Amino acid sequence: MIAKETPGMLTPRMIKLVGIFGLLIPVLLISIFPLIVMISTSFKTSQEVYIPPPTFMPRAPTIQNYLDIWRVVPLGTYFWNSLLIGLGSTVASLVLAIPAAYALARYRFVGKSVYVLFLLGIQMFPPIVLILGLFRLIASLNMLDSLVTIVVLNAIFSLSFNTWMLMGYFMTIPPEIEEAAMMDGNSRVGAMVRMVMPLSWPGLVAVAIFSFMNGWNEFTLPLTFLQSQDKLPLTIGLFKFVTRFKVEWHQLMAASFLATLVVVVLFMLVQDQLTRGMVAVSEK
Amino acid sequence: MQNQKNGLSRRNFLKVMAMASAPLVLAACAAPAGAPASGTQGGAASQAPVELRFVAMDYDSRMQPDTQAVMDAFNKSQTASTVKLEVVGWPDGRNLLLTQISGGQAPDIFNGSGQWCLEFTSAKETAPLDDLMGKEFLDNFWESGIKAMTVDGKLYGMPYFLDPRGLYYRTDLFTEKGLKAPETWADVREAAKAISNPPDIYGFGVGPDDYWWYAWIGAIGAGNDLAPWTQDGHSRIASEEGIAAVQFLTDIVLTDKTSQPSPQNANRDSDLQPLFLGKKMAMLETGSWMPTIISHDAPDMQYDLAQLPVAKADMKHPNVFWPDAVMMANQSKQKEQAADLLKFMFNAENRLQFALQRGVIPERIDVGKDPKYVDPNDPLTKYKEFYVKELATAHNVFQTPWPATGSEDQTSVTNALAHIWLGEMSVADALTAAAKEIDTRHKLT
Amino acid sequence: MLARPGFLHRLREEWAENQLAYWLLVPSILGFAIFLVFPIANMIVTAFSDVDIMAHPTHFGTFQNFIDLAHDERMPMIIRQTCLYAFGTVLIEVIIAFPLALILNTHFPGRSLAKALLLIPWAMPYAVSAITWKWIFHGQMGSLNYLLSEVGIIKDYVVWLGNPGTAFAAAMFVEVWSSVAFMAITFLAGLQGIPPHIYDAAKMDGAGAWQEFRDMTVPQMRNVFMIVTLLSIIWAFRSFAVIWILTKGDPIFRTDIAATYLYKLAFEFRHFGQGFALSVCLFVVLTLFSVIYTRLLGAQEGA
Repeated sequence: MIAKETPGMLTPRMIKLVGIFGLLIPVLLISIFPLIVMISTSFKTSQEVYIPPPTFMPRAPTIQNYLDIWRVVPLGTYFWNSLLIGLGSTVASLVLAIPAAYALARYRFVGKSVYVLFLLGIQMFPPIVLILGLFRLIASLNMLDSLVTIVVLNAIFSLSFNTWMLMGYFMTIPPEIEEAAMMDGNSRVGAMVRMVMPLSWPGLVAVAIFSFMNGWNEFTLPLTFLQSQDKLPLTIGLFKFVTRFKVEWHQLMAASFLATLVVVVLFMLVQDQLTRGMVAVSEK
Repeated sequence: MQNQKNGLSRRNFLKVMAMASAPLVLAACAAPAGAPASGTQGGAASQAPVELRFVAMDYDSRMQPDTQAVMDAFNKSQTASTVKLEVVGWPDGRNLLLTQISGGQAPDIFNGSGQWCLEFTSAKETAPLDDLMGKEFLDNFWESGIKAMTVDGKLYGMPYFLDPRGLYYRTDLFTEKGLKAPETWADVREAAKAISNPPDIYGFGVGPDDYWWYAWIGAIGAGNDLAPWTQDGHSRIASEEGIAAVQFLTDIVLTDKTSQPSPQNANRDSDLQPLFLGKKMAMLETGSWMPTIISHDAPDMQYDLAQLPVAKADMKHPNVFWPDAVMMANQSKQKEQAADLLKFMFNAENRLQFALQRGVIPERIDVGKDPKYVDPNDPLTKYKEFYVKELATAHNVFQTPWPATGSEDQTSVTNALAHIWLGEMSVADALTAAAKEIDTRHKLT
Repeated sequence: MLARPGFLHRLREEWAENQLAYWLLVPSILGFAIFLVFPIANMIVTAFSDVDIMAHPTHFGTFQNFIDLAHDERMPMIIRQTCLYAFGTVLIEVIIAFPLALILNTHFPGRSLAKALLLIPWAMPYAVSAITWKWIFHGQMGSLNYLLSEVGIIKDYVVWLGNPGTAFAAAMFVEVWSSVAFMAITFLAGLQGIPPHIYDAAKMDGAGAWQEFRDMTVPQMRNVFMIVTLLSIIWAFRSFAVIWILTKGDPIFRTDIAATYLYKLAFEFRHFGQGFALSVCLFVVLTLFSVIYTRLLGAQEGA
């Protein structure tokens, strides 16, 4: 917490750094351990996967898996669909969560606590028990086999966290800013769009990333509601390597590594915004 | 400071929103394109082909392109219907089918385990196939496969390859110790003791589920009643043979300690086969797909295949299989066309290709004898011939009347084995308790 | 419920004042109404019905499913395991995530790299990470045993997923592994949101680091802490994928938790009524818990 050190006092700073890294490095190593296994396996041949002991450095490294996976499954299509679902879920989540969060942040209205409890309540059902009913509903709405369905359902299932998060952020913005804008002739909605939204940019990014991750990682919804092979996302596509009698580890790990890489790069690009966005939650 | 940032952010934000909404619009446009086709064809002119849905469970990563090729050929061969293929991962298949059928959206054709066939049939969700396929056509199939899908005299699923089992053993290790191919339980125990040297090598692969079945049929022997329940439905797992079967496994696990450790959770595909491929196991019972896997992942392995071991030397070797099935949904509104698809899928040429691609045992008698299947130049042919021969004595696990609580009953057995191997209960006690649990479930006590 | 004379009037007043708020809630409420009301109602109806093996309710209006659940001798064990799993993982997550957030809130070389690496578990599709962990835990072929024996921590290879104790611990570990990044980052955001002038004032008063932490940081973090832990506990209570992929609840239901057990009841054993009844129980328990928890932590709802 104490960011600045007194100049000249090297030893306490050194001790602190040793402490920091002593705690941090084990945690980070465990965090990335499966990634290391993933990378290492992705450069192994299918034969080497089964040679014990499982060394981390492949005995005969090969990039063949990275070439093969595109031929075995339509990986490009899967990537594209995952991207559509991820980005679509992001937009849909924002559309649903922004108005709700603004209402919660700025108004004291009858039924507010009921709404908040309701938000929490929908988190309490394991999604698997809702699937049967949801399938009947989606079928009767003629919305089967559509990416839109996945996007909308993702947005609804992640609404509680998103709304809470944004509500926290909106509350940090002084109401005076909107009042000033309204004095200048803006409507309340106009003031919200012109003043509050731009100021909440980091909070919106945070929610956007959370929603994107939800969409990108979602398994059960696309499995249940998508049928056409060319609409399937990566999460389902990766399991083409998990077959009836065995797992094609070498290819699964190569494809999974690519999938993880995409998200990590995306993360690093927007990380600062993410962190800044998260700041807002607590600023009440 | 704040102001400048806002200018930038807003532009960025709009850019992201625009970028993000483009795919949403795309998705929205793409979505309806496929949907109405299936919905509206009912009223269309009679010439227009009807659309059939085939939900195919995934056997391997080639399943999608291989099956699609068959579907394309079918679509070209006739004009009455077109097939849409949907390939689904095996572990999720049962519940996905349940969801679709329960939601009134059953695919016309789907494949799956014989167990699912019996479950869906007991809920009257599968269509009888005898008349649609015709006796002449069905005569091409192994009787045991057809019988497996027959309930109350009617056929509810086409057997979709058969999977008898065998005992794989490492010839190099056996030769080194001067051992002969194992035939009886005593042979297995002796060989396992001679070879086992944990953690470098384990003698014999043991698990619940399939492995209980191998021991069970081994205790009884071919030619006798292999069903684990009596005529009136009582469980036989705690019978003399049942106890002997589990005692055999338990001797290996607890007394000889020649199995891999912790067999109670061992899964054939994810735990035991990798051990065999890693050359850390001398003997493993598994199915006909194994030679293909070995030739890919451990091509230098020296191994051979023996019949499943029996309790005593004078017994005939039994076999056991869990047939898969292709079913037609009772909800299908186009059963005639679906039957045409089934006949096409199950013609000799397509089934030959399927068997060659997967390395599995064909359900059609003629395919099993086809010189292209048992190609003398193929090193794997001897294993194929072994399995085709084994079909004669193979017991079908899903033999009817198969109880609707089958998977729960199997769990009772699995749990009994876990109690025993965790050292919590004796063999007799655990099996007696499990048998009582099963009988209670069937309301027989 | 009493029809006071001013009721309608007050309603109209409320509407006039907060009209916009209600309009703003329309999209999300509409979303719920269209997509969630039916599935939830369907599930609850099923829980109170006789159900066939295709999950169709055949006769509504029975408590038999709940009675069967109450007579299920495995239930006490499942409840114990669920509580241990949910509270255990969240407690461990807090214990790791809070110091981690404190560390990440200081300046040190490599901080942004550390943050990026920390997020990797969250960035892996959970279905893939769970199956990868299963392979890592494999008794003989897995890299964990190899690593631990190379380092000299274990002598004999452990079949992590083969025994109830180690399998349960392994599942909890993977659950923590996959969720701790989310919690740490949210805590970090909370820490960064504490206005710096609070600390400046404290420094002037000559407060020590511990005092500062206790008097400034902890109270400021209360709301974030409440929301994150509450959501995490709820998510952990209905957690499914990790256990299902790692152990399927084996051996002998000793690694089953509520969600996996109700899935088995419903989808594996085809007792849909019982499975859904368990889900209703879970909902009631979690609602009660949420109310008590928010009261206990004394956080103000909304405003």
